[in-house]
Amino acid sequence: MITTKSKLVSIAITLLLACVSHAQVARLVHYDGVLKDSEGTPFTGNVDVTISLYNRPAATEAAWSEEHRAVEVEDGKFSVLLGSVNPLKLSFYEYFLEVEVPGAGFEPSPKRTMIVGSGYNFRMWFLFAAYTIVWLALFLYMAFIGRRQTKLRSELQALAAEKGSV
Amino acid sequence: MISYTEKESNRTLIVLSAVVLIAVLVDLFLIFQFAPEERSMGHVQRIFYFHVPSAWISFLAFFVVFVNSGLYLWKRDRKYDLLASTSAEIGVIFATLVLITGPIWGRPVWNTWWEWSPRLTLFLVLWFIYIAYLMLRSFVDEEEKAARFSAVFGIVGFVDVPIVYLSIRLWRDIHPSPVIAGGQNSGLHPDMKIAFFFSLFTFTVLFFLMLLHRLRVERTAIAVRELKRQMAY
Repeated sequence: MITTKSKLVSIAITLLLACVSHAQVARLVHYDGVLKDSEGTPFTGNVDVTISLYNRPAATEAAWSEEHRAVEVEDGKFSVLLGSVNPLKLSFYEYFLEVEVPGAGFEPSPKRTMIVGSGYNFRMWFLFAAYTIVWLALFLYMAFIGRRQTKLRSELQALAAEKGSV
Repeated sequence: MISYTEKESNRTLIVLSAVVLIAVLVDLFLIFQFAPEERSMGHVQRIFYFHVPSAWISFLAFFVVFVNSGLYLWKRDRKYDLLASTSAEIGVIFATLVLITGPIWGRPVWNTWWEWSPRLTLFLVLWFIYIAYLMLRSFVDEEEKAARFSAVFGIVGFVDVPIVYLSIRLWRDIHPSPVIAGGQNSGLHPDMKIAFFFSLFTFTVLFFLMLLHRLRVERTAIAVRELKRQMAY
């Protein structure tokens, strides 16, 4: 017999799992960039790209950095997933992103771009909300019908006892 | 009178509960760790793994209502009415979850919570149909009459299900095109497919577990009512 207590425990475990899974989701930020040579012509080919995040616009030491090897650039456009090489463990709020293409003679413009927590944080909350609502609703419904069954069973037993004593 | 062995029913419920618990844990891993991140939507796309199975379960539940409503009108056996009404209740729960998770996905992806597009509107109509079905049952006092009326409603109401399903194939819609059996330019990454089909399996087993639980409650309620009736004489 599943008791209300064990149901509450299962709800708590589910919520805990939801939190754990939320925390364990790989933190990745999709970044699209444009690469042009010194004459402004869009580049096509493969290049190594180093991306760094700084706390301040003029900071010299990067808070996080990773190198993407042989990134495919087509008509100047390339895209990388930040955090796919070196895990992003920053509390995302506001950082300054710098792109470097070592040895290829490219000068990124602007030098540093400000990025805010619209990366994974913003969208993750939608996912987390949807996930929590679904499982909370389903477990609450199961708890509700379980409680109703317990109530009805005791009523049935009481009635049967009353009938037997008459 | 509906015959059932409580012991057997309990055993089935325990086995199904264990299957659901394991399946939910595996599903968690597949959705959040195994399935790759979608390129343009990012993590929010993972809502797909419980939004679509919820919709599938609501369709399945309403199909159970449809079949059992027909069987009730044909055979006049109370067990079919019980199956239809409990299935409708669970179907409404899953349909509600579809209507909640859809806008939560739509806000970051479409930049709007809701659009009166054919798929969204028709699904909302479907939800209202089965809310009306449940209301109808609660408003009619006489059990036999309530069962008969709702059986007719359950058959007619199901007409909306294939229309909802086909709506994104028939009309232009903001809702994404089908990714399963959707034609040449549609499809899912193989790992996404595994996570999706496993989610579908988990939700299906969960549906049957909920249905059995709900049926057990209804049967106990009937037993209480019958005992009260007997004692009144």
